[in-house]
Amino acid sequence: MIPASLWARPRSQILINKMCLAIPMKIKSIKAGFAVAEAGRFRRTINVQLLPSLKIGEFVIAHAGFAIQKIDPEKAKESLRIIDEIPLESNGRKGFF
Amino acid sequence: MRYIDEFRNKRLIKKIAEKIKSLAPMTTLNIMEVCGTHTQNFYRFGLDKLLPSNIKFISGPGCPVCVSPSNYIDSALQLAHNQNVIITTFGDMLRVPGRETSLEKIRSKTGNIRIVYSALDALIIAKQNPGKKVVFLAVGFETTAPTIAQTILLAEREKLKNLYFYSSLRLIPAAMEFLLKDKRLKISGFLCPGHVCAIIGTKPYEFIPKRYKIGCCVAGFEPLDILEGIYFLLRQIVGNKPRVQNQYSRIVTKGGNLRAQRIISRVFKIQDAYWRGLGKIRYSGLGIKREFSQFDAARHFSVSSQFSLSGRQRGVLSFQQKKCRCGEVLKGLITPDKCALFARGCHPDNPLGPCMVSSEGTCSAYYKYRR
Ligand code: SF4
Repeated sequence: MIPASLWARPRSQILINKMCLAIPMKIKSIKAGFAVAEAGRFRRTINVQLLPSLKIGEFVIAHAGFAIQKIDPEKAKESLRIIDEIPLESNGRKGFF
Repeated sequence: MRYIDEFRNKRLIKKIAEKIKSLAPMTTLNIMEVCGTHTQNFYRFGLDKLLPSNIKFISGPGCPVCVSPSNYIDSALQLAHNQNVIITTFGDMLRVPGRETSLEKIRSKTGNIRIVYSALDALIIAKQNPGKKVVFLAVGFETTAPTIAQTILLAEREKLKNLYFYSSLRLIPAAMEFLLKDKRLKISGFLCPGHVCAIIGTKPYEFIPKRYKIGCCVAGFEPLDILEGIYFLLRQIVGNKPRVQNQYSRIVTKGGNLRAQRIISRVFKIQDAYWRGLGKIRYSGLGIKREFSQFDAARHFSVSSQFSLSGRQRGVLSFQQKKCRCGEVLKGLITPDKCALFARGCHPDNPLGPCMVSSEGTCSAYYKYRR
């Protein structure tokens, strides 16, 4: 039930001890509630039972060994676009409203 | 998209910083954030230098390690002296001072304190050491709570008999409400913690604009997230339309992660809890439900699960701990440098109060990036 890759975790991975660190990771494979996820060159096995409809290739936020939420790529683009499209009045004469 | 670099784009950072400058009113604005990662990244990325000086960024009680009361640490220390016990904990917890010492200081002596990254690691250690009792120091907010609840469910399924959880889990909206009740507090807007909201959604904050007429914006943690969050808040302030906005929509939805919420309420019950620096706050903590009491370290080892300080106990606090002004720092009433001990006796290598302990604590972030 608990995958072998969790047991055989190299020490260096356990030593990441910042509890509040939550990072975007890409799901590589899923098996029985656990997934192999990747962030850059960093790979680890995380629990994905909090996200029942997760699919391979999707991005999640991983926190303390668990995927806590999916990342929505459309919304990500949207929030970047909003910044890009903010009209800029350089000298601040005119407010937004 | 890797969801990191895109949100550190220099051109966009400049653009939104400009926009914030042109939008900001002349009066002083206090924007409070209640997440250690916000505190840290704000200074780490130098965002304080990008904002107009009348916009103050205040760090509220957003570091779970920092708000764990010293009784909690003392009980954990007491457990660590039991040779039959292995203590497993997030690394941040080691340096938190109890009344006399810290886990870090006794670690080499007792040899049974292990740093883990996840509650799952504690479960594995329990399996590998059937002759020992493994205690996990369950500290955190709503982000961490479901990971611990899920581990308890896994431990139940694996029929583990030697794994215990010592809960000091805390709930953020309850603490925000507690702060809002203090009339001295001058807050113009809240930057709500993105990863707490990933679990609970944006709904639990709606009472803030409704009852207290203060705007909220849920924000992520990259520089652009934080700045965009501040920008949204400014628009609310300028337009005098406080509401709950969501900058971090790629992660956060209105309802949050329902599955995680269900698991939390299956394993935990809401109870009053004591916060270091703030005192007792009603319905602000999570305790393990009776059904799962076999995993509850507080019951099994009969250590305290309430952690309030009696008058006598308070007398035992060291002189320096009494002078620590973390309570005021957490409420945003003073900045760390106003504390007489800041950088004079209290620094990250020798933390006197909780806000200096974790690298995400307000005093510690201030020490590293602002001094
Ligand atoms: S500088 Fe140290 S003593 Fe002063 S408030 Fe911060 S943690 Fe407490």
